[in-house]
Amino acid sequence: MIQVVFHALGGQGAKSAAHVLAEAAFSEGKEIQAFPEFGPERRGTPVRAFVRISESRITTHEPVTEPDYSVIIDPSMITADRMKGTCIVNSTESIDEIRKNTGFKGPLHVLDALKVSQYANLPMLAAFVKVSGVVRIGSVIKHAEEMFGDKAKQSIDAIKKAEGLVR
Amino acid sequence: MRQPLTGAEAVAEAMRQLKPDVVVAYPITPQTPIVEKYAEFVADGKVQTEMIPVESEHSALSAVVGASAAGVRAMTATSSVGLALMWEVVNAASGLGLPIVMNVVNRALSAPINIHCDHSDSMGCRDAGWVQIYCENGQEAYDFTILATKLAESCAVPVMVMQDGFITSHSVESVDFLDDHKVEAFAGKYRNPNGLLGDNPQSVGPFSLPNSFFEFKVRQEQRMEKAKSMFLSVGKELEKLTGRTYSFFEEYHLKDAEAIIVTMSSTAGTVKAAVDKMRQNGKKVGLLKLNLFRPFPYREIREALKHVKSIAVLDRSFSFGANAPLHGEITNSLCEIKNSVHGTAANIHGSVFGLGGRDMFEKDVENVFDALLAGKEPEKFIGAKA
Repeated sequence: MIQVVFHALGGQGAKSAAHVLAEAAFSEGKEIQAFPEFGPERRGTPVRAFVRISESRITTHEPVTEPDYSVIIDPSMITADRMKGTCIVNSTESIDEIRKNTGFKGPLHVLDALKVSQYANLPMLAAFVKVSGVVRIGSVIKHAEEMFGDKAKQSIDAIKKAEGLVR
Repeated sequence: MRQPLTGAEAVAEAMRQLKPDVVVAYPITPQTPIVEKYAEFVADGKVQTEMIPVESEHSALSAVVGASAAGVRAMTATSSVGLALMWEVVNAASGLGLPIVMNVVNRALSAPINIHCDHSDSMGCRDAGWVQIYCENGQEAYDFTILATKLAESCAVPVMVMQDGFITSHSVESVDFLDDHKVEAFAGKYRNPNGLLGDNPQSVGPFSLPNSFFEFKVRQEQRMEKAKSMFLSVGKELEKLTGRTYSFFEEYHLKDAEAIIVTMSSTAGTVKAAVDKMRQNGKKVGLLKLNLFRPFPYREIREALKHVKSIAVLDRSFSFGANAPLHGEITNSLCEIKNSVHGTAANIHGSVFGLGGRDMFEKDVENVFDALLAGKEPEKFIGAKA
């Protein structure tokens, strides 16, 4: 089972990113679970959204505490306590600078998400997919299209650009 | 067909397929996505339901009572203080024998105010004459909403279907749906000929003096008794369509277990994960997950648990000054064994967990099992700061 935590401020779309990832994995035949930490009504405060992807049935309903991947959507949230598993963070800083600031020694990838879109959630999801390979980017694009309707084109452009830019 | 949906969306889908004639609701977190989704179905013309927005939950259930008394299929959904505000009408609905189905997305009661999950809302009306079904996940919430509709209409009792606030209602999981026409054939179209708008209308809710009131209540109790056996027969019918079984409770590695946990709703899933882990280490632990809380299956539980030496009952609500609701009922179920020369006297411990959305981890569950296996008392208030 693969467990992912998305960190963001409420309103930045952590929940939507988790939802799109779960749907993409589901469409590839996986068992899935995606849930927000505090409910959706926390605009502007730190929130987490969790995703589990598995080959077999998922029964647990505990929050994810030991993620395989941490995706940090807001740059202000790149802190040592959030850096668990393989980390994919949104930052203008270099990998070395981030390591120096957080003391994190594990696998680390960086995307300057605001370069590709004013909304960082889908670019960061794309970066996660590129790094992890747990689902195909095509599945993510398809479900982003379904979720974001007429804003889909913008989203897809962001995903495609982000996939190429992640370090 | 399988689809990734939240527990709330799964219930809205079930309602769409059941085609209630009337849905009346007042939004309240975390129930809102059910009626929000349903309002979308109405606006898109996918259902012909008369959907009535009202100014409070008291009015919501009152209007549903009116519709149901008129003889048509009527539903609502609520949470927490919304259910508390309905309280007067909750009892009226069951007293009138109206087959209303209400989804309750469990949330703590005030005060302090809190929007997260515990079971104090629905447990607060466990004696109000409604069938109560607690669901582990979105799949069960979907299945049991369909079962509940047929059960309610065949026994003239109202049914509450519970799912955990946020944990289930806002969690996306894969849910297996029946085709629309299968649900339609299963649930049929409901018309009560004795309803106010029926062919043979009868009075509803007349004043009743001491010379008749008691008999009304005895009939009500008899309808509940009937609902218990009907739950199984309606479940058997539904099983033919879904391939899934519907019993009063689910036994998970129970047969050879030395220590077991009894609990309900989403936490039962977390217990299953902990049981799997501990079984791999050779520990004989198991779970009894209760689905049907009212009417309560005392005899069947007694039979299922008579061999178990050590039991922890995990409640997600208090009954202040008394055993917590599930703990009390499990103790009742087993007291006959305890007093019998033939029975095993199990050690039954009660713990309360998860109030106001406090997280419940697999590790917490393992701690409970470890305590039971060591002959010790599990933590009384799991995860509460001292």
